[in-house]
Amino acid sequence: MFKRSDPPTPTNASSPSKSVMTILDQPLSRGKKEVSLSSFSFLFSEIVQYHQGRINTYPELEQKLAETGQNVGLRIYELCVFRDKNSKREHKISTQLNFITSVVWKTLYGKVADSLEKMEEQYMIYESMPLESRYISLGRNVTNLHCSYFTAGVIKGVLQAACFPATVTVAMTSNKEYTVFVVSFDRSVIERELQINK
Amino acid sequence: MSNIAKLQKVGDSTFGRIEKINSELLTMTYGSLVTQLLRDFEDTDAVNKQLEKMGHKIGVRLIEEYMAKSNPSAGSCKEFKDTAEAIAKVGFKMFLGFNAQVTSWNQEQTQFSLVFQENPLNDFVELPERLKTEGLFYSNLLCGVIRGALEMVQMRVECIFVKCPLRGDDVSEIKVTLIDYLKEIVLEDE
Repeated sequence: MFKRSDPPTPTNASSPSKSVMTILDQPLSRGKKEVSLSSFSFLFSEIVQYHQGRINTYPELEQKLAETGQNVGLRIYELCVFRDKNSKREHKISTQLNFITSVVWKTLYGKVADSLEKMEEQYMIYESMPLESRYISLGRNVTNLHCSYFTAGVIKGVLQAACFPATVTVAMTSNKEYTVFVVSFDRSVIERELQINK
Repeated sequence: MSNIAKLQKVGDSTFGRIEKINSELLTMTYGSLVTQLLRDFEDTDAVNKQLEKMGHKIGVRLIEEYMAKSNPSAGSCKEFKDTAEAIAKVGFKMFLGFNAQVTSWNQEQTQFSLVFQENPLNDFVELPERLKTEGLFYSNLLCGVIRGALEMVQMRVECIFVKCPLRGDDVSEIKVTLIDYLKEIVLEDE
């Protein structure tokens, strides 16, 4: 019988005679597969609990969730760009953010973000109900935790992959209706933007 | 209509009813979790165990939704034999969107294998050779989910991944072995 500790048979791992089909040889999926929302919610809840056991303060937890999101962002950016036939590399902040609120948002959450606003040098993405915090209720003693840092991480990851380094924070509108993702770009990005607009 | 076809219908209609999302969000989030675990534990076997543990916690809660949303009379888990088909045709379908096949029953009817081709968790994944030799079972979470869910219906089982396409196999295969039935203990009033 097969046991966990058995080493994998070498014929399976790498046989030079058999042509190995790598992931790059397969056609890119069209991304129409669906799974239950609860599968994701269950998984996300486990991720939160896992990190919760390994941190001391809530900002650390938010940081960990952002890291998880960032890994997703880096990859989803590549996927969206590959899939989009007439995609070009965006070099302007506004078009890049539009790409996030429309294409990336649609791929991940099945809808576009509610709105995108600019305030001085910061950009805000408004979302009424981030998917990941839909089934999360905070304990009575927890007041200042935003599990939406996961999405903040996704935004950051996408921006990073597209060469727009930025920090993303999460806030709530005062009536608690919208979660706001506040994007502040690095100095270098703002200077580049000024150069382009000259 | 055969029992399997009936269960398949239950699975399809349940999946049609519930709220769905693009599988890629799940795929990538899971991938991100696995990479984080690999970084945190630095030991492949510990990652396998951790994934199983997390799956178990999910399974314990997921069974409730299974009971509530699928038609419980059709997807009942009284006999181990029915349970196997219910997992394959209803459970997998309603949460992950695909069906699995039940094969390789042993003579005592206490062990079977779940075999499936597609697995959204595996999408876009390529394992480095090192992790293949060290024996990472990327989707080990699923084993935990099955164990946790069955524990809630009084069956103690052992689930082991035996085949995984990411390690060069043609299909995924999870071996499920029944250890014993748990007894419900009712505490007497004091």
